[in-house]
Amino acid sequence: MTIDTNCHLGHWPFRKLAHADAGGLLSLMDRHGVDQAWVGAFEGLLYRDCGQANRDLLARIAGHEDRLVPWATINPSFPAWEDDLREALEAGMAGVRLYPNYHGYGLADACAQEFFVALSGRDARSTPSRDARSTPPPVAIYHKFVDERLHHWTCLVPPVDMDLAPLVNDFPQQRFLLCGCGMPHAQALAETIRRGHVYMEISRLEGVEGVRLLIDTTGLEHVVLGSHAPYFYVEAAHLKLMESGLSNAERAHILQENPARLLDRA
Amino acid sequence: MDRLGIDQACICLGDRLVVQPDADELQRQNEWAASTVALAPDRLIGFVYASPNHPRLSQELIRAYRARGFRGIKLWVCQLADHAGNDPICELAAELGLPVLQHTWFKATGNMSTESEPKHLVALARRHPAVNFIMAHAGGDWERGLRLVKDQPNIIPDTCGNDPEAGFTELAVKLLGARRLLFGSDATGRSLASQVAKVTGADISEADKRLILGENLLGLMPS
Repeated sequence: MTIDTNCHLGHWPFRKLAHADAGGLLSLMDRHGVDQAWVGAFEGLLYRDCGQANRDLLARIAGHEDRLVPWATINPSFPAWEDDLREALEAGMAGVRLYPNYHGYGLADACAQEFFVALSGRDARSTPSRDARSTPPPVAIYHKFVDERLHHWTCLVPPVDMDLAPLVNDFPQQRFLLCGCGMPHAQALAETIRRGHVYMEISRLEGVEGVRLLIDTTGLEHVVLGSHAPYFYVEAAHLKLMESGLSNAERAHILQENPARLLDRA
Repeated sequence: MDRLGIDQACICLGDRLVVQPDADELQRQNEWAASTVALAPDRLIGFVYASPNHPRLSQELIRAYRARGFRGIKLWVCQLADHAGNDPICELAAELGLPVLQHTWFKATGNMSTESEPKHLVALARRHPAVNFIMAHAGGDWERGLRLVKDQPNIIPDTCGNDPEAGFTELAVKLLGARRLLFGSDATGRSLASQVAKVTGADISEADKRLILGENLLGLMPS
């Protein structure tokens, strides 16, 4: 079982991307032996109405839910985000993706705190379908979606300050997936990652034998495969595993066991 | 390299990045490169680190290290590529048949004042039509960089030093042809894997991949 934790579908407004529909992504997955991809909506980054982006994503993956696992986009700085969250959870979306830099807030802002309170079940207004859950849905936080040096001139978006420690402290049951981070974040957040339910995907990890260094920094149980496909060439993430000379046991953790635990399906 | 099937690598600069190297630093960094190549001379190819701030010294270094087997010249960020100090370097490159590898980026966040954009390399390449210029990073903003150089045939972009954004290699082949693109990794700053994936993962023919991954470069360098 191989799980890619970081993919998107839909329309990226600044470039026509190949493989951005369900059939295209599935073909990439087949090429690399990927059984399951966690997908979000490109539209979620720039739409005001994240609920619409989520509904469009669900329509795109219809019939392929066994392999394409939808994650909702929520913008907690936008009015009535609780409605979007409730709708997404009731639709069975597996987790929530946050893009703080595209949505104009920081992780330390009150709206982010309110979001995690709601997700934790402490505020039942947003999560009526969550009563039976033992743990909140996982949340992916995107540090960087595009290298800021390569942003379109109308859309210069700074990277997110990954101030994660307070969230891990305040919401110890919350599972986090860090997306678009590199080794500097792993090193800066290593203690927080190790003591929390925190995982890091490798799409933006650079440097020779970067996955090996990441494992040494955060611990193997916190590393998952993420390709950032179809925005990135999907091969990059898979070749990074090869570059680091991982054992079969290490690969099994990164490709299957850790993602399953992140989804609370281990 | 072995894990990813990379047979040879061109190396340049030294063991640290110095934006404005003085004469001693230039010599030290080239000697570091030479000592590194000596560790695996069948796998590593040296490029001479030259500086338009020191054109005469750069010429001496190019001749000296060429005699020791180096097969190209590296220009980085101490001046814009169209700086007059690069002319003596490029004249010697033409004489010796050496390609010139020039850093280029177009950053939405702003370049350093002496950091070349592709347009600066185009100006230099027009002055030295007998020299083959390798445009490192394809200008970073590759959609912009590839368009800027498509009509300058002695500029050959490489694939290295930016994210593995899908579509890059396909666009380069479409605009320039597969014979005008080189695989580069920017290792060790970058992952060899993330960079070679731009070629191996591209929707182009296997023959085009072979050109980009090595055959093109072998045709640019003297033995």
